[in-house]
Amino acid sequence: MLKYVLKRVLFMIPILFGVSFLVFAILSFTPGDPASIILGNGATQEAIDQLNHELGYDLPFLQRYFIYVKDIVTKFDFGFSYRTRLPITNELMARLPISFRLAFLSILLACLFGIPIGILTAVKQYTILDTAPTIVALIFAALPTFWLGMLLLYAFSLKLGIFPSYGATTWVHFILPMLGLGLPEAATMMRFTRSSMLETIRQDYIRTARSKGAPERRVIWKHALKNALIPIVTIVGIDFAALMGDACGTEVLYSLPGLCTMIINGIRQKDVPSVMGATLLLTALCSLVVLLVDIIYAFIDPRIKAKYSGSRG
Amino acid sequence: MTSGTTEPKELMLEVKNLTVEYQSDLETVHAVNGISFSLAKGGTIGLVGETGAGKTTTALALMRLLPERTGKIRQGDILLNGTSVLKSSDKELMLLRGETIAMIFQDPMTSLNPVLTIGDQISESILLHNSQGRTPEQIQGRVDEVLNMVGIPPARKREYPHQFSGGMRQRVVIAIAMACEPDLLIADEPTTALDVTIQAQVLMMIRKLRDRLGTSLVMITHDLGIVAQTCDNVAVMYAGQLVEVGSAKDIFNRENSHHPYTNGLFGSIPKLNERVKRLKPIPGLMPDPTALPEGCYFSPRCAESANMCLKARPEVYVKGEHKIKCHKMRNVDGYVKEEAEREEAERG
Amino acid sequence: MTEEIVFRKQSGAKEIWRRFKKNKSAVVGLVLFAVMLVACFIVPLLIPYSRVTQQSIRNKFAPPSIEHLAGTDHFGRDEMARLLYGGRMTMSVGFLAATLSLLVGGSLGMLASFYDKADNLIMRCIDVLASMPPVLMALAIVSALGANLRNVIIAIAVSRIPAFCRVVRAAVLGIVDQEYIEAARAGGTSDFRILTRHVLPNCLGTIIVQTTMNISLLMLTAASLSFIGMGIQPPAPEWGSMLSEAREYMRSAPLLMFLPGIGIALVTTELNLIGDGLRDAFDPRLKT
Repeated sequence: MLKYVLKRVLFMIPILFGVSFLVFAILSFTPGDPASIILGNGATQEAIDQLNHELGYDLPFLQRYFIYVKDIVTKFDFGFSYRTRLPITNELMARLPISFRLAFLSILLACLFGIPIGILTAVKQYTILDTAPTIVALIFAALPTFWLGMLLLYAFSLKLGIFPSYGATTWVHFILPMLGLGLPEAATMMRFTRSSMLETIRQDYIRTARSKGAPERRVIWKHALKNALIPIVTIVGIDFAALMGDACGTEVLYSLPGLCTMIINGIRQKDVPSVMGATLLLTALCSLVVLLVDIIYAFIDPRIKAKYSGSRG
Repeated sequence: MTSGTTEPKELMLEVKNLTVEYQSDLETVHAVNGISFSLAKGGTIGLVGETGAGKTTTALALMRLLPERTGKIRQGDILLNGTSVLKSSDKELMLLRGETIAMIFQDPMTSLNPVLTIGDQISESILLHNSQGRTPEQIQGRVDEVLNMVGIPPARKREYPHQFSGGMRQRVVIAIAMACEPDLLIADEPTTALDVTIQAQVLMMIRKLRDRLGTSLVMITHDLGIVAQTCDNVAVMYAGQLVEVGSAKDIFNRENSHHPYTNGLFGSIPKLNERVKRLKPIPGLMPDPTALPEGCYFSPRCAESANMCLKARPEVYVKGEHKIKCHKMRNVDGYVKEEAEREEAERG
Repeated sequence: MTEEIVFRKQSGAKEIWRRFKKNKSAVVGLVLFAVMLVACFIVPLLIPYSRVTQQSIRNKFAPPSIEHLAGTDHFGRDEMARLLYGGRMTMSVGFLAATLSLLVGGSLGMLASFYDKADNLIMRCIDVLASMPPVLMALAIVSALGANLRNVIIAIAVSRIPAFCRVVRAAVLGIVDQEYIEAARAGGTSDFRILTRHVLPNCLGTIIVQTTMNISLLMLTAASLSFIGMGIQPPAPEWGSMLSEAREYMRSAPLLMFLPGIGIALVTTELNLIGDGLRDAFDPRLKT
């Protein structure tokens, strides 16, 4: 099992290098050099050249990339912001918990609602307990997260005044963003769980279980559920990554000072290091979650577990 | 092999005019069309026919395991030890399944749950039918016993299905079915998915288990060789009907009259003791079960078909235990229309 | 020979259509979708574009009336005209981006599945692309290229390439492994012919279903980019940017916030219904 975890961790390294290179390359296309952005319109060409030299911007592209990565790896230093001249690392660390909390709460909400309801609808197929949740999920899965966020804001902040409409100081501030981001995800998860469960119930081994005289409840919980959950686990990992990106709209809407708003502000102000740092951190976080999910997956699925535990297979 | 039974024996299984349809929103598949047969306690009947003849559907109907929404038993009855399976409640069914009636499934690759150890899968039915109140240790002991019986080292019970080869998995499937020593075992093409060498082993094992435990057996197969080896009664199935039923002696005796389809089946297997230039396959295909022919279902493929075969459904003709559902039998000496015979029996 | 194959394909399409028609919710989705297509692509031809941009400060936040069916926005522009033109924009971006993404990602997937040598290289690159959240990737690309219609389409198309590539690769691999492909190869059929004659027709179903599902995802991505101000730029109407503008006036004019959102939600629901229906129609085995 350790071998599997190790293999997955090692596999992550080239991916992170690839992503950092990709982001670095894309953002290098951004028109304008850092010095002209920092110094503004009135600066002389000499001053600009001088500052660009100090920043190392006159070095070749690959060398700049190498230095950037080296600083991150050896010193955990993401450079400094063109705008504020402050270290990016500090800002990243301040914003990371907010983004993570939002994404984590939303995916938790999605799992807590999506998976059990999905199972229920599959088990009660063709009854009202199936059709009603399925229709609701169909609608919720189609809602843009930022629009649902607006509706919640309108109803619960503006009209009812129950929840605050901006800020991230207490956990109450996270309820509306969590609902806005998590409910569509819960709907997607429910739809997926339902079809996974239905697919599993049709399998031959379920018939085998029934042929032994197993009562329906045992057939569902002991025989079907674990098999149906295996693909769902991977979806949770993939969707967590997507959620991180979707959080952009939600963060903007609720003025949450997370990593997404950092990226957006960075793009507006042509602050390339901010954009790069936040993008890299978010991607690394997603890769970590996917890794975690893969490991959980291996524990659930004996086929993978056995492959790496050294026994016969 | 026991000869045709003259003394009345207790019946294990009695199927009366069983009719099963698969109903989808687009069409109705007539999978089983009024079949009747019976099986004495300790007896073995072979259900023979091509793929799609309705053999597996019959087996699933016996266990009431047809797909809930689409598979419907339209007519008939199934008596197990004299009690109707069709009228049983869900609870009664659960008690029957596994303990009284068990099934060996066709495909060992898909019939085992991939995330449970084989030990768990075998012990499950023992656990579910634990009227003797066995302790967990005793249950594990029984699992070891069953595994030994099918030739798998008990130490492997903690392994998962994917760690076994196809033949070994089929043994596991058999072990699951035999775990509670059922009175009636349905073996649905238990060897089709296996290599020829393994086939012989598995068959031998099923026969041994049957002889040792006195289990009644319904052997479903398309292989006449298997029937000859294992069964004392044979039912030939075609397009959801039994076209010929009888003792193995009746069916395998080439001197007897047979249904043209049975003759066709024998024509398509090679014989060791005869010189045959060419094997004769049965021409054509089984009729579409959503649109069955008007007359005899076999008539479109039958070399002997006459005008009447295309128009009227044939009656069943009986001689002793040998039953044939074919128009041509009305002129054969010794065979009586089944209904006439029944009326006579009722009068007498 | 050719005629026979064409004939078979047609009957396949007919059969799929017959199964699709049986699915009530899919048909409802299709009909509603057709209505919205007409509304957003035909009706704007009858309304001059000036109605979309013409401001009238005196008449801002006007309630719905005969002249302005959905009222007016914060600049006094006709909301109905903006909704219809905006819908055309959102849907076009979705369709174009999905097509682009399918062409690039699908070709890559097909190459990867068909040539073992290319497989490793392509799939490792796709792994890198896929490890970035799609919206973030689109953001990065838009920021590098600049926010305009063309770049937004490119950006969101690229963000979806990994998904298309993986789907097509898996679908083709399932077919390439079949024995009839082996047989065709043994018979000396060229790779191109195998691809176009045997592989493509057989994985068409999967590809069509996935594309339908992805159009709605891409539309959502486009709308959220516009919403955060990194997509289609005002004054061009687009549902996402209209929502972004409406956000400021949520208190005084909630209608402006409801309508574009309902538009997006309706189109995505319809596309999901159609996608579900197509999936069941292509693969009746999956239907329960």
